[in-house]
Amino acid sequence: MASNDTKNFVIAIGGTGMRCLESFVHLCAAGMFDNKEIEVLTIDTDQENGNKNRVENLVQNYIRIKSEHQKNDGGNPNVKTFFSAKINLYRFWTDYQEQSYKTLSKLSAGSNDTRQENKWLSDLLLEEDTVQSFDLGHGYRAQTHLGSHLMHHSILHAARNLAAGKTDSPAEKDLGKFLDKLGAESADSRVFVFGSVFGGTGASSIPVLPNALKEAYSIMVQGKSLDLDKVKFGSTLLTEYFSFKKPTAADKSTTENSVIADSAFFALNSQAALQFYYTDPTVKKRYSRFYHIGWPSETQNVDSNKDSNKVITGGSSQKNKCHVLELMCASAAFDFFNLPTSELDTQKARYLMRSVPHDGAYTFRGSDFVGPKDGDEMEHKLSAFLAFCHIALAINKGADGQPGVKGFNQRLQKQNITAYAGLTDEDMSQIDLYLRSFAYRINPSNQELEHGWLYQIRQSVGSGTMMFNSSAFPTSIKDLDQVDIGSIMKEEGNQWSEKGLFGGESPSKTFDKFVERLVDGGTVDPSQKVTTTKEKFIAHICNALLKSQNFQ
Amino acid sequence: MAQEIKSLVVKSQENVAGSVGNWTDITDRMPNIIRTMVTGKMDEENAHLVSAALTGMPSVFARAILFKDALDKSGASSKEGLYEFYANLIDEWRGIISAIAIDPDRISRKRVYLEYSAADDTSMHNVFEPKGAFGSALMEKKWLWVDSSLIEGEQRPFIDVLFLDKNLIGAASPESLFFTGVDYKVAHEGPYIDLKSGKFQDPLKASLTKEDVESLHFFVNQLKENWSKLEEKLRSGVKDRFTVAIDYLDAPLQTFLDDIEAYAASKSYDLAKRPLSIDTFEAPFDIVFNHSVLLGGGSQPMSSTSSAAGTASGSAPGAAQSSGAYNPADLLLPEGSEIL
Amino acid sequence: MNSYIVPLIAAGLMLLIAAVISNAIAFEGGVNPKDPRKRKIVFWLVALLNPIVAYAASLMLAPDSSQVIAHNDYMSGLPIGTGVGFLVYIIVGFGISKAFRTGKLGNWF
Repeated sequence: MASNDTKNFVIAIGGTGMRCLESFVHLCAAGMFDNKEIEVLTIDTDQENGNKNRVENLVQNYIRIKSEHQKNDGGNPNVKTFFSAKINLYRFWTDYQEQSYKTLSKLSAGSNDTRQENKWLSDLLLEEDTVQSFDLGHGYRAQTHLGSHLMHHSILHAARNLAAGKTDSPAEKDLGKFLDKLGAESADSRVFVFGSVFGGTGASSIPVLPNALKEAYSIMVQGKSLDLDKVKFGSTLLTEYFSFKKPTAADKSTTENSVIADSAFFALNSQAALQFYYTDPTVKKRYSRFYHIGWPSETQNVDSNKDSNKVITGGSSQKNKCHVLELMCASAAFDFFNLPTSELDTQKARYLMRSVPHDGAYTFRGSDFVGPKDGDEMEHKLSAFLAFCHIALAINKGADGQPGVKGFNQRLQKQNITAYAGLTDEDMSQIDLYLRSFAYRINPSNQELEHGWLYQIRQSVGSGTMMFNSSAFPTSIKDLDQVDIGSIMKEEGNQWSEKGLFGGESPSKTFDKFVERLVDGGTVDPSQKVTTTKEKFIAHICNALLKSQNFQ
Repeated sequence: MAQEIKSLVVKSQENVAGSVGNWTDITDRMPNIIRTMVTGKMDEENAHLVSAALTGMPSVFARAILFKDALDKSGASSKEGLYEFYANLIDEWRGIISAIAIDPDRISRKRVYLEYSAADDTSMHNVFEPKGAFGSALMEKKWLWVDSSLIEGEQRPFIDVLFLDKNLIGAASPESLFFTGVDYKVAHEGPYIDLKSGKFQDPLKASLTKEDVESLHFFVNQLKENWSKLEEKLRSGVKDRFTVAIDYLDAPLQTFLDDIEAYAASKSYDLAKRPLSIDTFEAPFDIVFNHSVLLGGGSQPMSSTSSAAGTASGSAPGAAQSSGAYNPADLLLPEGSEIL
Repeated sequence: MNSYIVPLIAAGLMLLIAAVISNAIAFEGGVNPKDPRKRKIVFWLVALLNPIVAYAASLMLAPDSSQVIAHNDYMSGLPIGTGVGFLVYIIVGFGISKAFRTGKLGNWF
């Protein structure tokens, strides 16, 4: 087991990295990272990227939930409750608006010899009319050879600005804060990087990140250095699992759009990248663990539900559905953070993979994500959190914009438990917002059920199963009224349905029994380390839910 | 009945067996997994896009690395995806080698040091400047791109860019000897150029004269005999930072030699030794690429000394002191003359 | 029989009935669940029924009118006994509600 002194850092890069981070944050929300404080850095080139905005909003909401009223300090790490990890968020993005490689590199600057030499080098390694010329505003567009170079030096550029005190950029300041944390805690720190190897930003950045951060820190803090023997790096090697519409000649007709990512080449890109990750001496020296995660089945076409005929190169329109592989990546981080320190003291990187049951279709259990020792806990915690969602969103109508979580507090107050009377509507609506992103919400414009993270994860498994009974995922508004929160888990011993008078499942009886446990058995224990009213409120609910499932 | 399982790895032609419940170590199996990845075959129409598509390599030196990988995997049986592209790269590799062998006078070289132009590193100069930025992008591999004969404090990473008639064509590489650029286009006619694309090609697909074949044979043989000296030099620079091994060069060089000999046989060329005079390269590449042919004369009968490990000036060690050395190419001897 | 006893027993039985019915009313979800109010209504409805039931039961168990003195004593104490029974129902009900303040019976007050 990692010691309690181990400091944990997560870096999420690019669109796919952001979606892995989303799964990671939901695992934190369910309570899988008890007693941990996690520094999270998001890196992207595309500030408007839909996936990035979605996850950053999610993390910021998580932080608000953890914080005391109107503070934004993220609270404290707790134990055996929801939202137990403390997350601190830092956001770094590059601003390449209307810049290309040529303009960024200032190829026309300097003496004749300098200009000539720079041009030779550029033309030798990067196509002049396309790669050197396209608009970087939406990222590197799967040109990872360009991206790795630019991201590396964008980080150094930011560090130089910070060292010279010449920055107003919130992105650069956040990077500086993250580097300060990394430098301060560098003894026994673990940094886990989320990104893909087939796209643009993540694929570009993973190999250069350790060195870039080390160099950046040395620039920023003169005379000091990150000891990369003590800071352990791990990463996902996530290969392609989605495809999108092939760009046409018309799409690529302008110079600014002369390069557009083509998902038909993702497999080739992955092969080239994996070859690199296996042989490059820098990568093998800097990373202790690579978790190779791939999808040996049909890839998901992310354009299938979209109306647009245009290829989306990035921006707010790029919001792909969640996939079970992203949860697997988050589980890789779980493994990395919990490994004994001795196992990470290797001279060279190790490469790992996961196998799961597949009898014609996937059957995912908790142990398939986090191993047999923690698999049970994962199922219980996710199940309890899903039950929390159903109560707030379905039973208390929170999915429809009503204050579902407030219903818990109202209930407690009606039962003369007034410990949480000080919570404001705003406090509780933050949790409502989170639960909707975790499970579902009702779209006010068309009154249809919009699926959140866990539902999308389940859908990505196709005809297979995802830990819980299918009845735990009602798919229509009508079905929400009948959801049985006690029948989420598969094992009978963990179900909490009460039989009705004439036998059969009785959702109302189940809820009735739950409220009894909520009022009688939800009392917070000092070992849970909860201090604020909100944390105590959440722990109270969590205790009741876990007790209902017979999980101690 | 044993539980059926599926490994969550990239689509592969081979079954990557694992067990459920834990992360399985596949470090030793990675080369096979990568090699057998399902990537699809590039059709004729898209074949030229493979070059553009192969932007998956996360290093600005992707082009150079791909050449190295192509040579390393040249014996692989797979002909799909990346491996199909490798075959194209080896063709270009043969082409650029041939250009140096057949037309050495048309080849020029410029050493570009991979350092920022501004002398003061802490100033706010442009951090994206290619010379400096590409230098820092080398990271650990920096030690392959220095002249290790210098003391460590004076070793500066560099890249020797190459030109054919002043057109940028590629560069020398410690890992592949040579690589071609991404964007070059040569209008020059020659057996090593595909006129349609302007790219280097395997000259054995074209028509070569006997002299060309002999020059090529000599040069490739020289590379084959001397790559190990380069490897030694690289190791002395890299030290114990990582393992240096470029022995994978031997097989493709041998194959090239065999193919040249087969070509000669098919044309009924009787291959004679045709030493080249190449002095284009500096350390560390001089020991493998350069060659000089010098004659000694004076009171003794004239003799020839041929050396591949020459200095930049090309003079051979042990040349006759009393009368100086002659390069036969400088003598106005009729074509077909032989030095006995 | 003392005319106080039957109303006291009736109060106890009515409390029990009120408790059983209240416990059978399930907790409801939502921001404004109606179940606490329902239990309160049950308590007070039964409270209103209590004197009626107590008085009727007491009447049924009254001494025969031929036992004039016993009958008169019984009948004169009946209203007071019924009143006392009602008060006992309220007071004990209040006590139970406070003893189980977080439970369903806590909704009575």
